Amino acid sequence: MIFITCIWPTLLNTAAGVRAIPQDYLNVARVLKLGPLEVARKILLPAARPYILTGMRLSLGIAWMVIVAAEMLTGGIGIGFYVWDEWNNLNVASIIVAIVVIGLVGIGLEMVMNVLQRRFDYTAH
Amino acid sequence: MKSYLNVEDTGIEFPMAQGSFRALRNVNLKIERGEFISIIGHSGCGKSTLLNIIAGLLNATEGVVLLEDREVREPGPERAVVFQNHSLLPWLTVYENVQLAVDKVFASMKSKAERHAWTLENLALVRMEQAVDKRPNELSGGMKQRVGIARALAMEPKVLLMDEPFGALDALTRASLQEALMEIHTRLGNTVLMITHDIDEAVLLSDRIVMMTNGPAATIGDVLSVKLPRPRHRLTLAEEPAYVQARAAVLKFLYERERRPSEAAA
Repeated sequence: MIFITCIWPTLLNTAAGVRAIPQDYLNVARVLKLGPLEVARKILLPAARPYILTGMRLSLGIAWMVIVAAEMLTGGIGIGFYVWDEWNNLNVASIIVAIVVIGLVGIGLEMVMNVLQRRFDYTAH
Repeated sequence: MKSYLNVEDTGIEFPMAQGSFRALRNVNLKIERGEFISIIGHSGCGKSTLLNIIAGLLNATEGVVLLEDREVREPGPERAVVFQNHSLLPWLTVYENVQLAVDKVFASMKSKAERHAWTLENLALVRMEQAVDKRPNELSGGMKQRVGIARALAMEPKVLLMDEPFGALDALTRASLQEALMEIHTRLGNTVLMITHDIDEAVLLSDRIVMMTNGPAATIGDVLSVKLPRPRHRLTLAEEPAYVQARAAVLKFLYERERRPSEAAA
């Protein structure tokens, strides 16, 4: 379920990235007579990589959001359930702590993705 | 007798929303091995279209292109193209860009060490051996174009096709690349077909200048042989009568004969 909700930004961005590849790169591939697999691996994938990574970044944000919300509904475990539980206990201080923790984890994930993007994205060099 | 590269009665029509657009008609051109040919003409006259047909990137709707008596139907490394905007892959280094071509073309013919040496040799040919590990966006426009030329030369093409290779460069960089190209042409004796907008460049570099009429339905208006001895030097040429004549002839063609499209149709 989480997968279904958060796959869309990655998917759409990948599609946009592939569409945005300049014709020149594809002409280079044609002159070199690269096969379809080689084109995908050597031209399409690296050219679309910045878009794919941006998509993954958005997806991860959404995934985290959905995970917390899902935990509130399903109950039993997780920080989402904890928030729900403490709300029923009228323990507002715990809820605020939980909100801060959720935020920090979100920032942490974002930073990890940032590092990844810098590592794999040719435009960031 | 057949020439090395034959373009015979070639024309192309592009399908449009209403009817079709005829870009080229009745183009006939014979190129011998080792010749340096320039194509000149006003913008939009189909120069690039003609080059793309010879490259095989576009398919002519009539006529045929023969390279060593074999029909050209699709692109291939024996007709390497130097694109106007260099078209280097930005995620690869200079070395990797050339290596991509070398590895593909010589995969079965050369060993890994030979391919490595060949890649470096071609980069040295364009004086880029200092920058092998740089990425294209760390290079100046002239250097990128040098790498583009190295990549094309590395394929050992039968014909080197250049689509306004120096169009986006400033005058001084352009001059130094023209010198480099002349030197390479003298040394390797490649067959070169180059599109240009620059009359001086055409006269300086070419054996023959192909002048195209205005589009639509453009064709070859005239072919001028440049009978200047090689090696040519920019400075001494400026006063050479043959150079001045050739230059004047091209100027006349472009600004008198082909000034108005209505005249071109006649």
